[in-house]
Amino acid sequence: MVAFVARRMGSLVAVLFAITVLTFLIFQAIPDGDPALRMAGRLASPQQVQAVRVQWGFDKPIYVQYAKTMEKVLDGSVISYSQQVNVEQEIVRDLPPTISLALGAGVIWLVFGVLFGLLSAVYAGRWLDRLLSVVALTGISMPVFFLGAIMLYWLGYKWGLLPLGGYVPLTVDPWGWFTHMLMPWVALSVVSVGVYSRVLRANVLDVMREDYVRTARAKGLSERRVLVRHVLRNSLMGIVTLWGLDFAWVIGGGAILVESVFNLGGVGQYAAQSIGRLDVPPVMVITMLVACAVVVLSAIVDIFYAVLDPRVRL
Amino acid sequence: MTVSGGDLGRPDAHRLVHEPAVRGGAVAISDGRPLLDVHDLSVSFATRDGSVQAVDGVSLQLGGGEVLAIVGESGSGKSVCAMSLMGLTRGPNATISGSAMFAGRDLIGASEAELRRIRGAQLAMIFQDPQSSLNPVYRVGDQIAEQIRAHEPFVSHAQALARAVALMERVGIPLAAERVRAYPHELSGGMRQRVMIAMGLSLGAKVLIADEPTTALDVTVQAQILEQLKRLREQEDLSIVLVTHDFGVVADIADRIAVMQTGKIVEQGTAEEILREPKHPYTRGLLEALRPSKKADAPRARGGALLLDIDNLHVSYAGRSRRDATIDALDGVSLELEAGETLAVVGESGSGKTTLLRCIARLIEPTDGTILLQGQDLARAPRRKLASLRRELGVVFQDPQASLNPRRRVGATLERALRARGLGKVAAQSQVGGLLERVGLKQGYATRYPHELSGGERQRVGIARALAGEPRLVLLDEPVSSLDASIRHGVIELLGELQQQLGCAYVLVSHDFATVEALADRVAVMHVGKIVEFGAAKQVLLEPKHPYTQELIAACPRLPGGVASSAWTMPRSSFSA
Repeated sequence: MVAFVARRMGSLVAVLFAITVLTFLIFQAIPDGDPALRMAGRLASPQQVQAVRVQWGFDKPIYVQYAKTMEKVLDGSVISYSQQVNVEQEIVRDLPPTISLALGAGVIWLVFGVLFGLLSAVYAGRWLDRLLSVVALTGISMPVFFLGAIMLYWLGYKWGLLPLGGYVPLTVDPWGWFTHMLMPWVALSVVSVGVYSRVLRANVLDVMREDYVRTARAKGLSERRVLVRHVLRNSLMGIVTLWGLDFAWVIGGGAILVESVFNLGGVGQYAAQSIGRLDVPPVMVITMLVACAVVVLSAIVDIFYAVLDPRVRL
Repeated sequence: MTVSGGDLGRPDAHRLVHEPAVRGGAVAISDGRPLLDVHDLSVSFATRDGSVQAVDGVSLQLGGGEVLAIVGESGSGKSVCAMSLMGLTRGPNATISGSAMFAGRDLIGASEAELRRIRGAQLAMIFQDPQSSLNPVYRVGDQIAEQIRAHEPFVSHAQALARAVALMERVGIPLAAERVRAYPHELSGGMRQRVMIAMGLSLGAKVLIADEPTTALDVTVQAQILEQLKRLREQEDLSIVLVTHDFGVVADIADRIAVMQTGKIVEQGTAEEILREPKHPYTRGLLEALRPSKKADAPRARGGALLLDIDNLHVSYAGRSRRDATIDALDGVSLELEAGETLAVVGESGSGKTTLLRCIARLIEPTDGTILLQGQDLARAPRRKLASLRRELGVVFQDPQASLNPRRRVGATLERALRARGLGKVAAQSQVGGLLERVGLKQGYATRYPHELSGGERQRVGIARALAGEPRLVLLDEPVSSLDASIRHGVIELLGELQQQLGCAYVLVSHDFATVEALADRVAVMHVGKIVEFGAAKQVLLEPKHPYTQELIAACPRLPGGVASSAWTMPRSSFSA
């Protein structure tokens, strides 16, 4: 097991390096993206542009630029072009709402996805299964901005049950944090609950046909024990992978729509604003953050996977 | 002495029933009643195409310490019958009627809760494939302990594990104290099946239902498992219901035999009666099919020309880390085969026989050595020349169901094979009919899909496909082992006839000595990547020199000598399927 974790960590470092190189190159190739021109402002003379270029090292060979950029990324001194503010400080400021969103929604979609999926499979073909599949498909096809707007209108504006967007830090006011996050959590998890319950239903039905489930029954175990210990555990493999990727996606600001609809001021919202201004440094750093989150969480998922299924450790 | 039904539930109840089971005679009876009494059991399943009667009015009795074998081919309902006793066929689509009295209770009518208390505790079951029957994510000890604790909730996990170690020792697992912490994939097939048996016995079950317990195992391992079951029967008075398709297994161990066909028992009696004087034509047919047909010594067009010359062939795989040694799948294999001859490669799983076959087809790159086919080296041939060289080869695979495209009609499959030889569309289509007739199928089969054929017919299509390119050499990878015994015969005969007509050579890989004896001119015995014995078929099979070959041949379960009629001239030739 230790060897497995060490191997996995070794490949992790290599992948992270490759990701930073690729991200850097992609943003070099953006058209109309000459950073010196953008930083110097619209009315700058060619001399001023040249001065900015030299000052920031944009005239150096590309690998020097990469090294310089990575140096700045690593010591946290990346400056945005348009507002000349420190990008990483902005991201650190925006992370709490994003992490709150990812954690809460992640728990909701995992718990309800597994619950609905298991119920669907156990009652396969009966009315509960059909009802849940209709609910799941509705959830999958519900656009987040639509659902978010509806919830804000009724729960927030009409009935005044929940606050109308914004973010309150957990450390300042735990109840306020919870009430502010509730609608974003639900809006974000609805799609995933649908997807997860469908995936789990299929997995459970597959595993139920396995010989070892028959063995478990032949041993005289109770149906509940067969279901939980032998069927559910072996059905969770695919879900674990899916969850790791989805969670990483939200952490890296993937929930742009939800963050914007509820004005959470998270990483996703920051990314959306920066893209609008063609402000390369924040977008690049956020891209690296997403990629790293995905890679690191996949590694964690792999390790968890090895705990779930000993055959993976080979 | 009287033993009430309820007493049978006590762990020491079998000691009360001390009169020996009447072997070979009537049902062994303890108190006027058999241990397990199945009466008029019927099971049907509702499917989309109407109701299917899987078991149809089966009545059976099992006495204490007795082995009852239920024999039949696939689809005969024998497994459904066994599983219904455990309540494992219950479900919304199943209709089960009749009764099965065991320990004073009716297993068929019992509630789920009642059944759960009996299952695993008094009535245990082991299955065909011990690999898939154990949950891959739990240690084997934990799986045994789970069963103990399900029935004895006050036993701690540590106590249950200690009992698991003792049980594993009892069923002949060496180093049980270590193995108890192993995952199923870390054990060999035989060890896994022993774990299943240990699990079955963990609460002192009276009756063990064994559903094809050795079918997925190698022949030497099969012999060990059967030996273990016999020992348990003799030492612990265990009663066994043995479900199998293999009369060879049955002859070794059964007291009584019930033969099933399409859900019904067609013949029932003591093992001796059934094996010596089978009355029902179906039983006779099954036994007949086991009789090895001797290789026809008809004169053949044997040019004596060397067709295949394999020299010092090596295939090795690097270990995962530098610490791990490289694994030699093939370790210096040398073989020769003349045109029109059949070479059989025998060995157990992991011996490298399939690797050898794949090397000849160049599906695996050999690490070292040469494979000369008519003077051309297949092992070194550049990739672009492979296609033309492979045209000299035909391959017949083990499982015709898996190796035929299910979405393509038989005719289209064959047409494609013919066109691969370079024929035009029209020419290819015109030859499909002839090809089908050659393998004994009607021309009309061209419009059918594989699922519309029986297993034997599918394998005939597989053979036709292999022959489409008019190959000099046909590779046969376990060509009949997925087929029922009664149709194996026809396919083996067909292979013999085709060889005489077409003069092609065969390389046959098989673990079944009956097939080997029927087809082979030469036999190579493989063991851990090496050929330990190579020679003329008769010589290797009748006078094996290498100890491993002797062990392999001795492990084959066989029918008792003199059971079947005149064809059993040589005592050695009674290898069963």
